[in-house]
Amino acid sequence: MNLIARFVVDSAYLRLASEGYQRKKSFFNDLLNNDDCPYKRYFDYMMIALILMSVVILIGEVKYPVNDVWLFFNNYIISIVFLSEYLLRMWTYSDNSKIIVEQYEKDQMLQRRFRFEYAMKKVLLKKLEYARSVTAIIDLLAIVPFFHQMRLLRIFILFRVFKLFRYANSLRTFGSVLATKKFEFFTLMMFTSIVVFISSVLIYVMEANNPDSPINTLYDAFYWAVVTISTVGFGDITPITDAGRFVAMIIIVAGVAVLAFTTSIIVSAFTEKLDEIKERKTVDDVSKLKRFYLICGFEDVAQQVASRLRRDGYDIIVMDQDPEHIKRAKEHGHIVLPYDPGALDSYKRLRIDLGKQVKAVLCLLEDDVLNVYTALTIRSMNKEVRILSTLVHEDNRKKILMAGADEVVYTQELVGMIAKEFSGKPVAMEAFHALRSEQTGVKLEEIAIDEWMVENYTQVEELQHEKYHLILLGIHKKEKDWFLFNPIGTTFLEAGDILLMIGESVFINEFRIHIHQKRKK
Amino acid sequence: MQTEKDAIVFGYNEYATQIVKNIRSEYRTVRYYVMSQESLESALEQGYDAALFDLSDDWEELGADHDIRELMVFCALENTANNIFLTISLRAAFETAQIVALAKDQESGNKLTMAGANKVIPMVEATANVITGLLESPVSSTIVHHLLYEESELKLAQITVAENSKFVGKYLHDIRWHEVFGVIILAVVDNTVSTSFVFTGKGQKHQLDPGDMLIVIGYEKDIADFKRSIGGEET
Repeated sequence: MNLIARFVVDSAYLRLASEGYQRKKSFFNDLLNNDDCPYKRYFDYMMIALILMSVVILIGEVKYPVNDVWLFFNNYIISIVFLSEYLLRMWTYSDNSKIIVEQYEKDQMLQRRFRFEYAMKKVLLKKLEYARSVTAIIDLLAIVPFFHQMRLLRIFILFRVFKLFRYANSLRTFGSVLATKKFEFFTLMMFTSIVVFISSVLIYVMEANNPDSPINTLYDAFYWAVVTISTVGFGDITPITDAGRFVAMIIIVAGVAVLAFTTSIIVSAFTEKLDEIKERKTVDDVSKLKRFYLICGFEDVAQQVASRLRRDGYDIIVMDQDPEHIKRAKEHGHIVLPYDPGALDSYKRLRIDLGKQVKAVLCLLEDDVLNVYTALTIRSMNKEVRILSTLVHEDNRKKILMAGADEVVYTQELVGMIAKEFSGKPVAMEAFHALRSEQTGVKLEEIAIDEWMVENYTQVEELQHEKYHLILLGIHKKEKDWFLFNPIGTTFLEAGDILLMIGESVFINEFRIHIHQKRKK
Repeated sequence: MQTEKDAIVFGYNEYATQIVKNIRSEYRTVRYYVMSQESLESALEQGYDAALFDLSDDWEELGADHDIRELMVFCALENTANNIFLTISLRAAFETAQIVALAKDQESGNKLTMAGANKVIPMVEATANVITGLLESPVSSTIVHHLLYEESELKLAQITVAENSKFVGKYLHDIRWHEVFGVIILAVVDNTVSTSFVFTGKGQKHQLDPGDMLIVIGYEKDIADFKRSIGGEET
């Protein structure tokens, strides 16, 4: 192995092993290509701004002298930024070190000479693969104005506009939708080209020798044919002979067909892709949510829970596969993901951080098997996230708990308990229910005590809640996790305590303001 | 605390089982009424009192077996339409019986009320309430749950003010009940059957009369002491 090959292999190993190098590369890769990267959005905005500035300068330059500083900015600074972007994209597109090392190790294993040239060829081919892509060509053309000061080449600045496709999501979607109809567009283009070609030749033959006709060259004929077939018809050039007019009639009819065909291709492409586009948008929206409840299954209980949580100002996401349920959830205005809540793949597609973004997962399917499956799937991905599940049959309680549910709500048991209420102390229960229902204007509320409040209120009696006609039912002590009922006035308050206050909601709100205001002082 | 009342539960499913499990201690007798021979055998085998019934029954037998005025009826059939039909036929037969019926949703709940049920237990709403409670205010939900279902030492009690009580004529806000007796008075139910919460303006101005019912939260011992002091009885 010669010296150069040795050096290349060594440095490839070094780069593969270097954490700093890999971290930098992955950072730039994320910045340029990963939609989830928080900085990518700002980078995209910056590039869009540069492109627009470039175009504004180009337009300004046509009629008015442009300040030298701006010209310098346009020709050099922007171009250098674009050039750097181009090179970075090329760099992150493939991993040279990996290709070289793989080739080297393969050759070593087969006990043959390291084929340095072959490895380099592979590296180059990979980079060329990038350079040949449409977006890379556009990127390259957008840099051209930097190399040439020639007037004509300035027009290449317009290629910068095409770069917008890269940075604006909606434009990218538009492009990808149209790309699905390549074959149809190709057929249409062939048809149009043939019609335009035949019509231009025909009209040229019919009209070019007539001194009164405005069509004198083949270029005139071609121009006329294109203007006519597109149904634009400027009217600056019109055939005057009968034969020419006949050609015009044919091309007009063909033009209508072309236009209808084009419209229908675009419309059908969008209709076919509409669900996919919407789904992608939903996934994007969901990944941006900070904290939300994930409701798996959308049956009766889920429907009620979802509406209440939404009403109380929480974000919720519904995940269900059943078309009926999806429809119902959409009618209620919820964000719905048509995925299987029990499949690992559903969560991977979602790109969400279960631990950080999800407040709790609610398994509300009316089937214990599915709830167990869902709870298990969630638990396999995250050990911390809170899981609450409904239970249909008592026998399955243990299984749901084993699958990882933190809390289980069993409707039948609730019914039994409510039945007991009605049997035992109906009046007391009714009063208590009135407290919990929303119509009475009376509430039982939790008020959390934080460190600052403790500085101002050390003991219960300092709260002066009685002024607000509030009853302090008790204090929940976080540390010891116990409930101190009816605390005496000298009970000490600690940060993390939760006060359970009963009273009219208006007064509870005023009390909240009262204890917070003092905090500010 | 057992009363002299009887209870009957229609249906033999997980709902009915849970109802029986919870109310057993509250009644003198509890009997299942089931629709199939198979259910009847199963219930008897488990040691429950059970009898067969048919939706077309005229319920004379029921009237003969129980004192209808003291009877608590739970309609817990799984089929909503059957449950409504059962409720309406029971109401037609017995005007005074207390009927509690299970409803899947609001719609069947309304129908059951129209059919004559005194109380309706809306299953979906109840479940959703518990779930949202657990999510939004976990501490108060747990405490309320324990309080309501007597899973802790704290109890909810209703105490009637006696004729000769020394508190008759006093205003609720005159006495610092929670300091003196260690109990919290939540509401007072006037003998004219209007409930008012103590902390509302109306509650504050309420003058205690004999027969008023106080809704009280406290530890068992404190409640017993309080009951003695106010000269009332727990109902």
